[in-house]
Amino acid sequence: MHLREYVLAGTALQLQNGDPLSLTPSALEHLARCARCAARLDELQQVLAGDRHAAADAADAMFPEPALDAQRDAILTRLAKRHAGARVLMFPTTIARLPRRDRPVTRWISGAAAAAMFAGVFTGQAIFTRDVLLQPRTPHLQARHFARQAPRYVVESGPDAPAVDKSPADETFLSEIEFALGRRNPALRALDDMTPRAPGSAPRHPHRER
Amino acid sequence: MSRVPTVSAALPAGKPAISREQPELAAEIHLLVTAGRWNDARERYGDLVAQHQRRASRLAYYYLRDAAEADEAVQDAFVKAFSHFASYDRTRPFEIWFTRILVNACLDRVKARKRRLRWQVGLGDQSDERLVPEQPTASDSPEAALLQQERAQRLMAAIRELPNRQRTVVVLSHLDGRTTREVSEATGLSESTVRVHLFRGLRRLRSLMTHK
Repeated sequence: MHLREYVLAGTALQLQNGDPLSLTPSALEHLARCARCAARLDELQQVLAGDRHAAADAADAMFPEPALDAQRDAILTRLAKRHAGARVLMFPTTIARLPRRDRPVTRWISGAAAAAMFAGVFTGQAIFTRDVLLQPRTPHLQARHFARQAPRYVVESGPDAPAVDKSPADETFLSEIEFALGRRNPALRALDDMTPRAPGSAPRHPHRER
Repeated sequence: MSRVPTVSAALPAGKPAISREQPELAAEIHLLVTAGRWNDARERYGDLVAQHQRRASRLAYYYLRDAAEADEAVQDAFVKAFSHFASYDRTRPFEIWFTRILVNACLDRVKARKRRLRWQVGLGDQSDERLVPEQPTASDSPEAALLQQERAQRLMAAIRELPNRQRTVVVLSHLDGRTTREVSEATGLSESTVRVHLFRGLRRLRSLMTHK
């Protein structure tokens, strides 16, 4: 029985590449004795070498020397960019000088303005700090504090409201209002009608009921 | 009379040899990188790139079958290798370490391309046919050139049909001429696994090339 072709092809490759043969001793013995297998091995070596040659030709045709030079340049350029150190910006050796203010008037005005500004800021800060320090900390004390400071514009009313002393001027003023309302301004009568009345109260428009 | 198998004497002349490893150069760059001398390391790295870029471009092209994309993959792999040069073990060949980076970069691109193609209804294989090279060959007669070109196309197309691991092993071993040990180091697979994938890959490759 002869050796299979792929075994022979592998052997042919091993021979070409200088590899140690991986044939079993019996296969090796057969190959040494069988002229037909030996001839096929020779043929396969030629075929494989031809394949290698053709493939290399095809690849080399795609990469002529100028293309390889360009490839090498591209590689080195990429490496140069990749491994370039960080750019260091030089610190300016000559510092730009500011224009000198030698005129004494300008200097005095600038100094006075600066002093006034500092004095204003300091005074404002002191006033603010004093107000904050004088202000009570707890909420109910704060409420009392502000109530004490605020003018009493609110007039308490209702059944539990304390009795208010009425001056003669107030009495006159209230009488005038009652008199004005008693004249039953016709323009206000419709609004008056819409206002609900408490049961048992006197009629609002006694002239109508007459 | 018994006969030990040898490399066939009738083999066609090989491609111009790609310069092999210069371990001292990679080790020197490693020292420069670890010393923080990036500019010096980069200058020396240019020489290392020059040594390996032909082979790297071939490998990337075998995977991707598109010159522009292969070029980008090679660039990315070299840039990535330099950026991680501090982790390179200088007692081992740079070529193997770099091959691993490059293969991963190519596989990532293959995956990304598949995702892209999934969204492009109706293109499918036709889009890949666009990528088949049309280049002059160095053969003697026009007929031979045509045959060689057709063979290369069929081979590339068949390799593209292989599963990822088989493809990697076949490309590295068959097309790039790496030994099983080198393929094992580059892929992280054991040598016996590499052999299994190589045999299966070759069997499938022959089948694909016969039936196409």
